[in-house]
Amino acid sequence: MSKQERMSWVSLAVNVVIGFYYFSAAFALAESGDFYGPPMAWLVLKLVILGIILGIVGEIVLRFLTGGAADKIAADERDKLINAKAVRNGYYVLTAGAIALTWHIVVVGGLDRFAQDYPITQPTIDVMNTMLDPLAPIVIAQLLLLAGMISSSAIYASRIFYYRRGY
Amino acid sequence: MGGTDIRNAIRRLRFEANEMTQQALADKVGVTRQTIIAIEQAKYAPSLDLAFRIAEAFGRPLEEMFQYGSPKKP
Repeated sequence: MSKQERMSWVSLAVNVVIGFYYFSAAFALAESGDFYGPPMAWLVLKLVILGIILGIVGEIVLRFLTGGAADKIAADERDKLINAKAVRNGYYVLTAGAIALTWHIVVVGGLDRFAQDYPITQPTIDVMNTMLDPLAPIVIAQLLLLAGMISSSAIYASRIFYYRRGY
Repeated sequence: MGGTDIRNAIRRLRFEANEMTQQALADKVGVTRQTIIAIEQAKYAPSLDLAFRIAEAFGRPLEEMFQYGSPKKP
């Protein structure tokens, strides 16, 4: 396993763990009513530190498990091509996320009108409005962060797929 | 998806060259061992620059190192 592939495995694992932990904690904060306050800022700081630590530990563990000696080449032409394809895939995912977020803003912006025309959606709208203001800047920022995390996971997963396949 | 129509004689020539290892060849041409593996298995087509460097590493002409398409039947 090359250094680049090893880093991709570690990055994907860290991304998934961090993402799952972050959005679970953010959801808990939303339920407790602390979503807009200092606890959210502390959560973000904790996650940055946790991400760095997990990344370092993961790299060490994986190098030990794969018996990988340090590569003399940081990234050769094949690594660069695989990275280019993976980033392209991540771009497509991020674009889809941005479109979905735009749709969210446009549709939610007219949510009350939506409920008037389609009364069956009223309970869902009530739950959403109770927990969070769906158009609050911090909520939009969270959704953008979610799209970014899914996109970066797509990049790492793509790299792994291409490395396993050979190219 | 994946794979290439470019065949190569790298594995044979490595063994003929005092059983040169994949790592030794990789160090000589400036790529990772995994890239050499992918080229040998015809999963990755090297760039022209890399192909020339590999040919030069064995002291053979490019057309002896790499062939395109299915082998022709006699």
